[in-house]
Amino acid sequence: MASTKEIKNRIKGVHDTQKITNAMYMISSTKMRKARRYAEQTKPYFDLMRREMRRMFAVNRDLKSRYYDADIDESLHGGRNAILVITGDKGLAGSYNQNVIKAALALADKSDEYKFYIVGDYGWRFFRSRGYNVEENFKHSMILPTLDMARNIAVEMLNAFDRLEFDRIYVVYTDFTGGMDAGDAVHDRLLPFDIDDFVPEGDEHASSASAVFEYEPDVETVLANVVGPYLIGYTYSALVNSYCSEQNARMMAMDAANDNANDLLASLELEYNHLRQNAITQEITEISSGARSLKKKKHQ
Amino acid sequence: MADNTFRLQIMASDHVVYDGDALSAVIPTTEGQVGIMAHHSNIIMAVVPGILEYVPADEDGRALERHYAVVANGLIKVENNELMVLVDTAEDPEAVDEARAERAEARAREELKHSDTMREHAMAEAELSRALSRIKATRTRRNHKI
Repeated sequence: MASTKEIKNRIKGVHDTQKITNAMYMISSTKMRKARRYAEQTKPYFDLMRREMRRMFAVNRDLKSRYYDADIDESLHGGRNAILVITGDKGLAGSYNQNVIKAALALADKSDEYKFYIVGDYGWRFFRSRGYNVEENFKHSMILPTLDMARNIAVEMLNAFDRLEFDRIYVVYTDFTGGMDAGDAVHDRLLPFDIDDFVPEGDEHASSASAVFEYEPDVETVLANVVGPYLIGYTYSALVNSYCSEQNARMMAMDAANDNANDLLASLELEYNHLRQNAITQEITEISSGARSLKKKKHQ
Repeated sequence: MADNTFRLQIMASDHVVYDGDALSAVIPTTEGQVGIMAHHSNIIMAVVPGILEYVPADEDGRALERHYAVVANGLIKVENNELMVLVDTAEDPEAVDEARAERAEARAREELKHSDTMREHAMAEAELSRALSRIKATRTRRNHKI
């Protein structure tokens, strides 16, 4: 059986670890709030951009370009695919990184040819050490996502697409649900994007789409000009969603660690008190029996 | 709103540049610089990187000081005497250098994190200090002007 000193040390150790998990919990919640605040600022712009694109697609359903298409059969995943994978920089976030990696590998399996573009140090180490086909010059950490970061990433993906290196570009990220689960790793086709995503949802959009506009020089040129900004917006929201999911997953992992530490402390304290009581009892027995034998000796 | 003005809304991806009445605006588009005044017909055009000018108006339709912004790709829409400019970035011409230096700083910091070798690390560090001194220089210059 462990001595009281050993248990005392153990209790101190658990307390120290709990301090760390507590701090990590707090840091994660602050980081998440910050990212959401930034994302909130960019929302009006991207919403308006989406609305204008929807309007243009609504008038011209049969537009076709390298960048967008309504008739891609999504069940045929084959072809040369670039896969943008958004992971975190660090572990200790439950199954967050594993889920993304699993989804990315499943997508790669379905491709004839693939190349990973990795955001986040965790994924970078994972895919590189296992010898997957990773774009070496694409290095991005998953620090607080900014618009500039999204812009750099989107431009790099767009350039690769323009060099005709890939038929399609996918993004694998984690959708932030805000609930108590880790969020789902999902994949979306970044390019060419689906016009059907822009189908008006209700009557309010249909009425605004019916307004007559002149296009100068023509719809195709205007659309081609906003493909970049659209991709940047999409990438940014994927980054923010992933980032919030990561922080949320870490918060939950740390919460669980805290609970475990509390359980552990309770049982350790119980054991410690037990030992202490035993020691006291033993001491008393020793003293009283010693005293009794002394008394007996006197009587004799 | 006075009769000779229109509502102008200039939105960059991370902030609103201007939202209010204006007398005129000149916008860089695929078709060259295009001037827009009140009661323009409904139109949608593609914006290319360049310099955007606009003249804000007060409530009585009098012209205020002319403003400039350096803009990136985007689009404009005129609908019912409202001009909406959606551009990826819009910067004050005076602050262009500073904004670029700030971007370089962010990039250098990221490279610093990712540097695997001593050489890469040293290069990223040098780049970071260059960016920081550029930021300092542009800020000093601007403060002296004011």
